[in-house]
Amino acid sequence: MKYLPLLLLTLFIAIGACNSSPEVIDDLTDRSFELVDQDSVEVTFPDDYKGKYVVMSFIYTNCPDICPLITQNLIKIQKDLDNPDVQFLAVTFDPKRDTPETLSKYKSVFHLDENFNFLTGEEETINAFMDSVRVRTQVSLSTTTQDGTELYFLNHSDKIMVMNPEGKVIIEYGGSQPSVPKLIVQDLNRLLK
Amino acid sequence: MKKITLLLFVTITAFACTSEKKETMEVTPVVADISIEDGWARPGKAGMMSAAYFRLENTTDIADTLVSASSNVSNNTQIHLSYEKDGLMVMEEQEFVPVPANASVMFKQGGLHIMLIQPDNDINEGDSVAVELTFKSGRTLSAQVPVRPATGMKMDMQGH
Ligand SMILES: [Cu+2]
Repeated sequence: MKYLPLLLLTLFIAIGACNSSPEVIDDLTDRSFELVDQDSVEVTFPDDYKGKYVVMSFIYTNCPDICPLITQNLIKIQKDLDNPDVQFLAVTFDPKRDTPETLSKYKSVFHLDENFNFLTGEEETINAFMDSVRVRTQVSLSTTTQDGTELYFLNHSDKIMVMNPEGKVIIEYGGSQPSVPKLIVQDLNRLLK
Repeated sequence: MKKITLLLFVTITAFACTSEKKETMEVTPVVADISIEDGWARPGKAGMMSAAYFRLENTTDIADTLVSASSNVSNNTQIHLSYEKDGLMVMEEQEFVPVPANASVMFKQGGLHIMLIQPDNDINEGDSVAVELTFKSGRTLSAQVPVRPATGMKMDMQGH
């Protein structure tokens, strides 16, 4: 019990340290993922985006409710930020079904510009990518469609992250909450000053 | 206190009688008057996914329960609920959705929704989707809901 004050002091110092230095949530600087966008253009993540702030989220196109909500939040951030130097990315965690063609159709529904891209890749690469940003998925309900094929849905993490120009994730919020775009726009405006 | 209990008992009995009458005799059915308000559906591509949202408004003292949904754009239309569980976003099919007396039930993004699974054709902005809801009472309700992006998602930035 006599160690309690010391313990508390250590805790306070630790908290203080977190607040003063920009917190790195995930350091992706020396990672390298070979992905493709909705136009089948190959990209190396994060190298190809270094020098830019990247706002990214994680989706799958068979998701009818939450993922459109996340995508809408990204759109709102892009619109309110109004800064063409910020890159927006939505990476699928369902590469088996989300081919570039499917992502291209999905993108067209939302009328997005060239600073807003959808990424997919080999299943193994995507799995490693999702691990690196701590995105979890699990197969949930599946239903059989008229033509007899199995249609499955995924339970998944719900977040939007901001990666800085060096390739370090420094901001993370819930992806689908309506309050999130405003917070990210505020954070980014401060960082971009 | 006793009086209230008695009153409650009388009221419940009265209701019980009403509903029994409805089932056993050929009288005017006493069912909840529910309407579909502020409906919309998200644009989507053929073979992909879309969803419809609205508010169910029950202005009567009688509760009812939504038990199924159908639409003209997809043969596979389901009632779903999205919610968070153990840090993951989860979606579940709903066997039924209670619509209490004098209450409204929101079908909105991130919550209850009507899933339009793999529509036969593209669902384009400006189109409308016919949604039909069936309730436990046997009552059906249909509405044409406009296809549009979610509120606040006006696509003006692309000069569309
Ligand atoms: Cu659903």
